[in-house]
Amino acid sequence: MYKKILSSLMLFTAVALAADNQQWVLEQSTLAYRVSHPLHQTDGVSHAARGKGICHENECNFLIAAPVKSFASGDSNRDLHMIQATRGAQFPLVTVRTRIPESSLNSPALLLDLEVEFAGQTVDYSQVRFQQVIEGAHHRISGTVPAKVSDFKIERPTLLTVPIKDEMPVRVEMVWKPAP
Amino acid sequence: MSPSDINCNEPGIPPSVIRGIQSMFPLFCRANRMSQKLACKLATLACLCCFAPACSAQTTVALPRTEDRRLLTASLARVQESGTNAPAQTQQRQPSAGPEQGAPSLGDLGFPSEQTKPNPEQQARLDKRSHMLRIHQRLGLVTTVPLLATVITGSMAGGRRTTSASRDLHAALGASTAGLYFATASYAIFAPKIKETRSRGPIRLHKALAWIHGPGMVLTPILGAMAFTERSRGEKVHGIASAHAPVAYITAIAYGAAIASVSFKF
Repeated sequence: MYKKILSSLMLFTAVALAADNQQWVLEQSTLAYRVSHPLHQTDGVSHAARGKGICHENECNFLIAAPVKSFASGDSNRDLHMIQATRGAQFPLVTVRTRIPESSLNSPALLLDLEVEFAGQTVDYSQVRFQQVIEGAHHRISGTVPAKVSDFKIERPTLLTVPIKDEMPVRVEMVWKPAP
Repeated sequence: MSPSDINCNEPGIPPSVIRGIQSMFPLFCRANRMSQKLACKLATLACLCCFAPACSAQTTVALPRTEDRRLLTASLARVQESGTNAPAQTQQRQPSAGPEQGAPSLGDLGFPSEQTKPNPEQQARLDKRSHMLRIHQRLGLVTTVPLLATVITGSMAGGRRTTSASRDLHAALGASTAGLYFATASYAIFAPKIKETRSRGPIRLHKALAWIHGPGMVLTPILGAMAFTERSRGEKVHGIASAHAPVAYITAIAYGAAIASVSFKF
């Protein structure tokens, strides 16, 4: 009798602990920065981001990171210049941290406070709008981070002596799923 | 002895939870006085293992749960109000010391160490490469000025009724173009190469065109010098020297195309 009670308690303990520390994993992602120059626009795309989320005490902390050199614009010379300008060999990862109440995880619209570490600088973007579509266990999240080149103290690259625009919006498409 | 007599109060566990656990062990507690302490320990252990995290979450997060709802409602309201192009607030600050407790860390993401390790040598190579290629770009633009002037004056230097002054001007501009061109090229040729990088995109066309305007820029002055000598002797330009103008035009077109290939999106 008491063994049964103890086993039940232990099982309940395991379930309670598991529920309290739900984890999420980034399954697919597309991160694309856009830089504009009077002569043309360029998109650098990375599918190499990795991410993890841990929910604890009704709050979920998410971390997403991508190697700087994984962003490809279709021109190897431009990509090398990008890595140089963003000090990508010295700071090889761009990381994004955010925190969200567990109760908001299923919300169709998310306003997130992002902490972006890039090029040796940490910049906070508050109230960045994301949309969420839930398909079964998969959460598709999309949005645009309104980044600027100057936010990260990056010297604006020039083409034909004309610098690119300061705006460097980063389009984010992610698919998250609960960790097994 | 009643279950409530068992002193199982432990710090951090609500009394209601303790009473609940005690009520689950009355028979055990009554059956054997020696086991009462064990029952207490078991109850306490069960409390700590099972209920403490949940109780703690309940007590500490009860208010935040309400706040969450309020924040979410407020967030949604702001989204509806702000529209699609709502500007986000930006704030620069010093890099954080590390992830908060309970937050995932970079180590959790499983990146290979070569992708996360800073490489100052590589950064230095990239810096030098970019510096040299910036000079290459600027000198290349400067070179277009004497190049265009050489092409324009060429039409005045090659006809039947030409003066030695126009030929001299054309030759001087040609020499300047060639000098600047080779200076420009040297900054691209001697820029550090980055290993494990395959050329792709418009830069391939830019490099391929160098195989046309490079030899062209060697041949053009040689053929020009031959043509200059023949004209100075009062002869009609003949033989291989007569290829000076076509080679020069091809070189100029390839040079312009090389600039355009990295300037415009095709």
